Amino acid sequence: MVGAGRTETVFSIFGADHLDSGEILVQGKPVSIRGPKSAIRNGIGLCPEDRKEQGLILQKSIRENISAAVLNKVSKNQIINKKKEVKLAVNTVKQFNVKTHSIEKKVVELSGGNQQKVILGRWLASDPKILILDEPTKGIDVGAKSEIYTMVCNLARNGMGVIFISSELIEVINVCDNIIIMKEGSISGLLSRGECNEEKVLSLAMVNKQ
Amino acid sequence: MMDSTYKFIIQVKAMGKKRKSALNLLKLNNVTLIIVLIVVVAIFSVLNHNYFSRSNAMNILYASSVVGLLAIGQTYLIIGGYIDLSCASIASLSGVLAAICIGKGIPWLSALLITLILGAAIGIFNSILTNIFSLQPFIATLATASMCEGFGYIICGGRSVPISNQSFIAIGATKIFGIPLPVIYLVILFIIFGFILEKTVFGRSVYIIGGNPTAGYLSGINPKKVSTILYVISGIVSAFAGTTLAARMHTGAASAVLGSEFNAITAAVLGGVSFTGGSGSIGGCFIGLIIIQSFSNGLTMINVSSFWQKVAQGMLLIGALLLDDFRRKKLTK
Repeated sequence: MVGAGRTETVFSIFGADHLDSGEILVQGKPVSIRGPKSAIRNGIGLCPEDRKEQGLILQKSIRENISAAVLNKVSKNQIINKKKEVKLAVNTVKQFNVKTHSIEKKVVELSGGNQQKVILGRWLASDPKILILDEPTKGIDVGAKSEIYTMVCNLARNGMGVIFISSELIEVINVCDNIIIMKEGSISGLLSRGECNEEKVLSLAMVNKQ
Repeated sequence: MMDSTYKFIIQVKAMGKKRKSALNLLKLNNVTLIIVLIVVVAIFSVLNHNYFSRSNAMNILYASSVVGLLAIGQTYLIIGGYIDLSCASIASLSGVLAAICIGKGIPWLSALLITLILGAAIGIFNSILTNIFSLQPFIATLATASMCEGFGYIICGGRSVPISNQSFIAIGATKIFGIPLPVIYLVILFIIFGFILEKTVFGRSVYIIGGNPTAGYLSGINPKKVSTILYVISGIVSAFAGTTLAARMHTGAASAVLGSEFNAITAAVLGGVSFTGGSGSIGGCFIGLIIIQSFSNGLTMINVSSFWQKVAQGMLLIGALLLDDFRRKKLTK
């Protein structure tokens, strides 16, 4: 549910917020994360909830948006290799089926779904071990939604850990293997796919247990 | 398999082509500027027959050198979403400080280094005000400007400081193949900073934090770190401008270039650097710089009083802002 502290939690994991307590493990190994940069270096990607405010550089091209988190991968000795950058952008546009005639198109001119795909592309380019998606289907069309579901499932099947945050129950139940329910800033329940239904999730998210 | 690979190559090629046409569109902005420049030059050439000459062209470049160096810092900062109104005061203070150091017998290279360090320190001070105390860059650097101006007058007691050390004077007054050193500094620094802005990871970071600082932060680019470097660059380049100016004038004066930040910002904005952050280029800034200098040089040559020139400069800045506004509306359509 909105307001349960989900975004704050993942921001802390990603190093963009202060971590009160706890430990972060990537593939079983504890890592110390001091900020988004070190989170990215440790194999964590965060696709933030508000794509226009927190994700995209709206006035910049698709190419520049895709490479933003992986500038070190498309550069040598701090100098950007334009060919590599173009190749990365073209590959990503193709892989995600972003509807555009050019990678130089400004992101502001794309539809919501295509904008979301550009951010997803940015994070997949960083080759994360853990990918955090905060409301990735918010405000996008049905077609793009189902493309994103398919993509998430494929990534998980290929061994990537995906944290999928959503307020849409159906979405969570259909996409996720394990569901963590949060309420008022703390975890109120953990359900696996088999034992999960709307009723159980809702009761954990809303009912006050004494 | 072959088929899909082939299709992919075609797609890459097609996108490459589109890229070029998009680049052409961007260049159109510079084409507009060059047309403006040609019009300015044409008008003044008709009004005064001495205007269009090699020696006057060199005069214009020579007069641009200080404002031009200040404009480099402004271009970087404004693209990154910041501004530095203290650049001209840093330059003036540096000139006075250099003159005093030379007067005390400090070797010219050390004197130059001292002023550059001072510039860097003031840059860090600006960065602390905007990043740690979260003050608006506009007002914070205005305060710094006032402080630097004050210190400039304090250390020289309000009098200009004459310089007689020939090796120090040489760094501002030497000519190589008839080209004054300040012009060479200007061209070299524009090329270096243009390259950094367009081709390097740091340059790209500047565009990203200017376009959307939060997105930049979440992509692993720290806006505070980048802006600190920007303020330090602006401080150092401004100090260099002030010191070389003092050398070339044989004098350190606390009022040497006060007010030049105005021209530097006009040059940047006229050259397509947008106050919304995230767009603009060093090349555009250079053309903007040449336009405003040709303009004020022309006004002087047709005997327009310096008071009216001030009015004209203000109008030029308004014109530049309107042009920027028009461009942005056209581009987002």
